[in-house]
Amino acid sequence: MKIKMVCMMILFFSCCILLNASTVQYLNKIADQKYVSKGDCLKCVAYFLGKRKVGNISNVIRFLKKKKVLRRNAKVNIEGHANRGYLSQLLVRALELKWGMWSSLLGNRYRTAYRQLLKYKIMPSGGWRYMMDGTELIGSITRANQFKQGVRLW
Amino acid sequence: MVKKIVLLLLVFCLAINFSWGETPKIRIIGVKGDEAEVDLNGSGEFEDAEKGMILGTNGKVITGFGTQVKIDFAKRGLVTVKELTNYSVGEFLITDEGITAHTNMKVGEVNVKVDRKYKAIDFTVSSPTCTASVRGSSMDFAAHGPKKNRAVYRAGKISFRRKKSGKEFKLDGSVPGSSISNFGEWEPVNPVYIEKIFQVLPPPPDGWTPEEQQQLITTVTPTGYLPPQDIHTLDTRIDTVQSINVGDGSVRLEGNISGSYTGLDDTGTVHVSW
Repeated sequence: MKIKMVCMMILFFSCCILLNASTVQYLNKIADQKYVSKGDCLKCVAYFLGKRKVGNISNVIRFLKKKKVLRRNAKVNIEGHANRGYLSQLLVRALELKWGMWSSLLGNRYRTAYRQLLKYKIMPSGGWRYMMDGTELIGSITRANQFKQGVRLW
Repeated sequence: MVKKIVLLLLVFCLAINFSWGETPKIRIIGVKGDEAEVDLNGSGEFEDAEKGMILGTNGKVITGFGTQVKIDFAKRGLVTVKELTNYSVGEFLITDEGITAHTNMKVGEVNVKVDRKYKAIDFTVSSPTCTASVRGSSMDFAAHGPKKNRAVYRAGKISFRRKKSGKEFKLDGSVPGSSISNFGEWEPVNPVYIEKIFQVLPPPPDGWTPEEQQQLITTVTPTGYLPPQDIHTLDTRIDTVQSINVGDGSVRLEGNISGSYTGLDDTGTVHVSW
């Protein structure tokens, strides 16, 4: 009984530590990743929108649904690899950019979102299907933030 | 006897202390914002960045949104780590004549300024795809993923090398503000920076002679542009420049310099007046 209690306590504390782990350290870990997951993209976009603790993915999804970056009934495969199109779609909604004619007609698609951000020099060239690495994810978030602040991008 | 030994020990300890105090170090001299963490020796243990912390070999600084950290490289160089940056100090050697420092930046932006009074300065910042090095000057370096790397020239001599192809670009004597990216995309200088060039020109001791005016035009004509130079033109005119003797031997210049600048894909007009 006592052992069980101790194990539960340890589990609880480790969960607490994980949830309260610094977001900056999380970004440091992301920078080392060769591929990023959709969950990482969601966390970074939530951080971009002002959520400072991004340890718990369900909280992050709830936050993004509240901010209308994700649809209410959206189901996310958080383990899946993220491409530039996926991040572009999230960023276009986060930046509240207006959609063009094609995206209005055909819906919010990865390609149109990517092309829109390419125009604003937020995303690098190379195509929306390109699998992103950690540095590119953080770089894109930085550029989106600079775009929001009115910095002239290159 | 015992007293003498104690006294000698005390003097010895003080001497060691003084010699340690003189050892130049890499130190954090300013933290703006509250999302900066430091791994002092590359051990993987992070703590909140604070003013006065000393970074060792492989020391790392990571920043979040709205945070900047200023690092003093033994008074020979000053690095400003901007937001969302992952910057690490690799190996460094500090001597009386200067500093050799190899630093890495996985992602983010830094501004590097090195002191010109030291002769032996070799300061490099490496991103995963490019390396920018600075010798007695100032630059901004940004790495936003493998395809978005850029060095912005501010002063002195800087070079930018692509790791994959090994191709190196030198931005010596360029107009401040001109930049080079990792695909060799050269961005023409912003007219604002041309204005700065005019301002830093040393004033002549007495009035402008036609030869001096011609020399001034030659001076402000960009010579260090990257590549190719013949595409860029700068047409400068100097109108009615007068020199007024202030009284203490120095001369105040009054007049207008106007010109137009045509770049690779941009045009601007320069109008500077004293």
